[in-house]
Amino acid sequence: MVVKDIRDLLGGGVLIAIGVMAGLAAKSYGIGSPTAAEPGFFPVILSSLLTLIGLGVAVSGLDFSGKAPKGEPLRFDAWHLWCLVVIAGGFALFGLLLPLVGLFVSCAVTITLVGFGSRLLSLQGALATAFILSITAVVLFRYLLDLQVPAWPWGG
Amino acid sequence: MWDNIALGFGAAGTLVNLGYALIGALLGTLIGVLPGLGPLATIAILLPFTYGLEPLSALIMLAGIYYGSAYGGSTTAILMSLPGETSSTVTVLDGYQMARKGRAGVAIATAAIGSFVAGSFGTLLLAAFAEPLTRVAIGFGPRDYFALMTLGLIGAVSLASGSMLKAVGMVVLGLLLGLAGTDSSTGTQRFTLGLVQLWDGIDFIVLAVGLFAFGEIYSTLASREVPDAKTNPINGLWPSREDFKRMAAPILRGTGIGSLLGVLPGAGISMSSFIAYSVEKRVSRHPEQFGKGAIEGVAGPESANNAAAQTAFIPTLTLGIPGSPVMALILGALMIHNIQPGPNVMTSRPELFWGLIASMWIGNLMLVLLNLPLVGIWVKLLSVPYRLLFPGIVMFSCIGVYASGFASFDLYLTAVFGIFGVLLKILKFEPAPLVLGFVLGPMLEESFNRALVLSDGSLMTFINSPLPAIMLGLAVVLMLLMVLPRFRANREEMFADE
Repeated sequence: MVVKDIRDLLGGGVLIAIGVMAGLAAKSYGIGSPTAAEPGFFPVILSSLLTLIGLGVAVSGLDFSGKAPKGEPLRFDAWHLWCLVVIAGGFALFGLLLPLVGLFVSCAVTITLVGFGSRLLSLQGALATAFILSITAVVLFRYLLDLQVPAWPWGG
Repeated sequence: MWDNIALGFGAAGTLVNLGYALIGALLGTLIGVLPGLGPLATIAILLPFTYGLEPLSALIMLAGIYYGSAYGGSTTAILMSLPGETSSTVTVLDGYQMARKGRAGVAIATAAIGSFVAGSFGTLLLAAFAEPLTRVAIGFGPRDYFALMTLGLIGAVSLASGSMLKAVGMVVLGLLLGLAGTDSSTGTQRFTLGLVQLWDGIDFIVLAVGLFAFGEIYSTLASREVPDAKTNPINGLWPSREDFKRMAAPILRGTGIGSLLGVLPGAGISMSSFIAYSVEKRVSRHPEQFGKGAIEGVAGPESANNAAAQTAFIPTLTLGIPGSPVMALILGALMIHNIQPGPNVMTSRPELFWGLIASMWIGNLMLVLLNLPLVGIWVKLLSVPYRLLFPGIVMFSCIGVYASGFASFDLYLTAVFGIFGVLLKILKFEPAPLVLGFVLGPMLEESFNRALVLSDGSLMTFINSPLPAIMLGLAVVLMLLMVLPRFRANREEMFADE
């Protein structure tokens, strides 16, 4: 038995894990009976289905005859991880900053870091882009569209 | 039907709504032309900004983005051999060859004219079928609805590309995610992980931006291939008399094929252009010209995908069942405005329903009259480098998510879903079926539970009455067909070109 496609094996594992956890949680909401379904009734059915599908996907990633060619390996290197960190970090940072320092500063900081972090822009380029976009954001969203968020660190 | 169409034109023809149709069509064309930004991500990003609009204006603009992007996508397919979306993949074959022969303008005009004819016909079909279908659907009981939604979901994933089992897994996961939050009938908190912020469930915008916008930014950055634009020049838009003669029949055939396939959930739109292309090649007296710049090879598929894009609204608007991720987003927009999608929309909000239909025709007309002459300007925009574009995309996504709930938590959750979406992509799962499931989750549970209450808990209720039995039977047949090796091989062949 060899692993034909590591993606299917891992992906099936993810589905099984989610299915089992969701199923256990759903059971605690109460299952009830078909005539008097409790909040866990339908979720338990879905979770069981998800677990079964996960098993199916995982098995389809295995080869029992030993003849199938091995699938291409996963491609995920340091650069991919870095991109993920930069984008996810950008979203999270924006959420963290906005209520604290207002729209302008949070846009400026997020865009500078994401732009520079992506290595598509130089530091100066990122700063310039951030400045222009932040001004645009404040004018467009705060003043033209009247979005109810503070524009500056002191409010406004 | 004509009264209703008049009502629709009255509602869509106001200056404000015409303005939103134009904005939508222009924005759609723009993002269709720009590489690295698709209609799914754009609609997801713009959804929260439609809060303040009238529901009809919001829908008109979002629908405009949808068909505008298809138009923009075929423009880049022709000029740069870069299909903006899967539906314009086929257009590359002959459109790009026409462009290389200096007939780029004619190819773009052909695509626009074909799209307009097909779009008009599709809109007419939508208007004609909406009422009878809705009348049928209003008589549906919970078990019929459960069967219909199941069939819709299975149909949508069976026609999409990729592994069937994985796609069904994504649907089920989406259904579960859709149930998170406070249970409406008992008040129990489900899958909230103890977080107060999840009591109202997962925000649709958070999920859509996380899976689509975040995912698209990541794919472009991570691929290390920042999209680059090199285009063929455009000269002479107007087709000759000979061109018109050659495009007429393919446009009509394409319209027919697209209208039929568009109603089917799933890959109806991209499939229709593939089928239209092969039909044109088969009936042509000069099949050897195909792939070398045959105008029929542009006219047929472009008409087909636009007709399909139009008729895809039929199940979405009349039954409340989205056949594609974009349609799921449109339904999401309805729900944001507290309108429960389904057959009741047409009776309770006729101006909304018919206004949207009328606006699609108006939007298509705008695309031909206003946009065609502007195509040169759009193409100039292609030279905006991605490194300047993507900080803007990130910023709009962030502000949009925050504006949808004014909670920092939503942005953290977006990041989580973004990472999860990337993990799914790496493991070769498509995120689109998940969104379909998410939208239908609560409705599916409700109809399932109610059907069981009505039948005293007997599961037989789903098979001992003809209508649900037929629909569930069809769903099973579809599943089996996908598993059978022979059909699967055909299907893979079909999507091999994508």
